[in-house]
Amino acid sequence: MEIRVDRSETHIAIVTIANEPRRNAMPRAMMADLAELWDRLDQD
Amino acid sequence: MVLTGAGDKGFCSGADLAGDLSASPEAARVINRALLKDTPFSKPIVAAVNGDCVAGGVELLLSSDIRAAVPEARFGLPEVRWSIYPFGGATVKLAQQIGHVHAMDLLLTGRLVDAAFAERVGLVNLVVERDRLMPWALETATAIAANSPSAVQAVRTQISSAIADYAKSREALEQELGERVRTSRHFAEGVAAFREKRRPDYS
Repeated sequence: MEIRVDRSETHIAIVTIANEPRRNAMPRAMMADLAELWDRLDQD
Repeated sequence: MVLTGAGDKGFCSGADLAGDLSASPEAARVINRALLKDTPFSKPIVAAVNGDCVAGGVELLLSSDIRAAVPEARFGLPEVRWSIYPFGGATVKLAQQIGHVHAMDLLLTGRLVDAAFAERVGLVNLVVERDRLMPWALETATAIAANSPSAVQAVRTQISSAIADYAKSREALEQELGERVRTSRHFAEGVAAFREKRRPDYS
């Protein structure tokens, strides 16, 4: 259960919501991770 | 960037209803930020909808810019079925994006619709076969990335700022209504029915 970030493509980040057993539902901690990720990506 | 879900069943089904359903101001802030409900964001988001896109998944989708879905994907906002107020952005964004009647159809019936419907009403740009989904997303993101970063991010910032400003203007009422639903006698029954996989009884 995680938010994956793949930066192998030049200038493109691939963000994957990964919690397959629950159809990629997001518990509160995962929501917090995604919120922090947006903050980081917005500053890149 | 490209946004997608793991596997081939789901894109995102929003908040996990098996977990914490409290709605403190801090929780609301985190959810709003996670779903990019009311904060401007400078980077374009290409959504590759690889499976079902439900509840907060739709609300996250509404914060993306260019979208494709596989034919098997289903879309829906079933919150009212479970006596939950959809306060992740659907009430303030969906009608603007797909029009009033289609938005109210999804928000009030809670039904699931297929990818062809989503394409027809403009919830996604197009439907593509699964093996073409990520290539399409990367081609689209690459085309954007070839343009001026300054200009692209300025456009994205202006449009997302306008959306965010509107969402912020509705936030006080949004939280008030969410709390009203959460403290209603229907809430416990709705959430229990969801967790017990049964039809709720609101009589």
